Amino acid sequence: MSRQFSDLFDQLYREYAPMVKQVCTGFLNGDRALAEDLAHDVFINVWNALSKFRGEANYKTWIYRITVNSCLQYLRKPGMKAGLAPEQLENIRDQDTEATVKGKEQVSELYRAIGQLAEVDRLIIMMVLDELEYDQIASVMGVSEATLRVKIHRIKQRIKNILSHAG
Amino acid sequence: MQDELFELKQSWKKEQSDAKETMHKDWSKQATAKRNASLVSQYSTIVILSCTVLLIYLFLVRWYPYSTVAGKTGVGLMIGTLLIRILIEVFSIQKARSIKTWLSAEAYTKATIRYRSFRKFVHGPVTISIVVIYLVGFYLLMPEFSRHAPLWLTVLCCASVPPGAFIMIQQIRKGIKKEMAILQDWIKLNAMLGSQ
Repeated sequence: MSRQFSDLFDQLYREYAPMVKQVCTGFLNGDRALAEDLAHDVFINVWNALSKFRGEANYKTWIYRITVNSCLQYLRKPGMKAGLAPEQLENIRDQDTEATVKGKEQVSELYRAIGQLAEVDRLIIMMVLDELEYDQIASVMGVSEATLRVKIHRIKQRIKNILSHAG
Repeated sequence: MQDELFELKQSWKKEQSDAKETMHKDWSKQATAKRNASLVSQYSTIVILSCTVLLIYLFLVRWYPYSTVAGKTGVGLMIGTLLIRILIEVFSIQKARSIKTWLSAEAYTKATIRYRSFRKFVHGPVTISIVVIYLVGFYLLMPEFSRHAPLWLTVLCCASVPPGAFIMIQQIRKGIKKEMAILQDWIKLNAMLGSQ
């Protein structure tokens, strides 16, 4: 790969690695070790796809597409279970409670709430939280904007319910 | 509606902006290693099948050629089925490579389902047909083989086939079950996307 691509990749990594890791963590119910592994997979896919980027979408949307597909593929790897067992979730929350401040605790609660959603819903709500435009989310998921709006409305209700019960 | 997730969005953004990333990984090497590992796994079946074809060709065509019609037909069937299997593997690799990671989730899921359906078909009817034709080819060698080999060896060759076939059928069934489970999972995911 040429120096030009290498520099571009470095730039994309610096800019989007926190976003990718956050999505991976949310998708894997807050399991940061697994999320690290998944984010690594995502960036290897980004690296391998970079020379084929044609600029049809902006880099953020393009990386989101690779992230979403890598997440969907990751859970279907042999031996990979969809999410963590409840007792593992409990451990994560306990560690976070002891080790972090209130803001962190809120994010941990949010990860737990996201983890209770269906996997497609998890990905959508994380894009909403990251304030992606609806047309961008629709393009990442491959659905119409109208149906996406309905879905997001339902997911928001569900998240609020989960968080209110957790609180 | 617009601000109902305001607080959550703020926490989410803060968590993201607090994260520090360092470029300590050699992505070029890792991407190459991953691609190589994937290539080895994809091409290992082709290499094994090609070696088998080569050995059959050397033994049964070059060194100990069969002269009867049944013998020649048997060798032809054995080599032919293996060559077809190799071609299917090559096609399968091309099909897998055509699934791009930057497609939309819906397009990616549909492409994966098409690929998995193809794999299920290959592991099922195609592999079973290939095994049956290969065995027919093998048994067609036996009349001529028995003329040159002692009886016990001919009996041993014929008798070793059923246990081997049984083990192979178990492997094929396992493979079909695995492919079915993966395919069902993707179909379920596609339904989730479609239900939006």
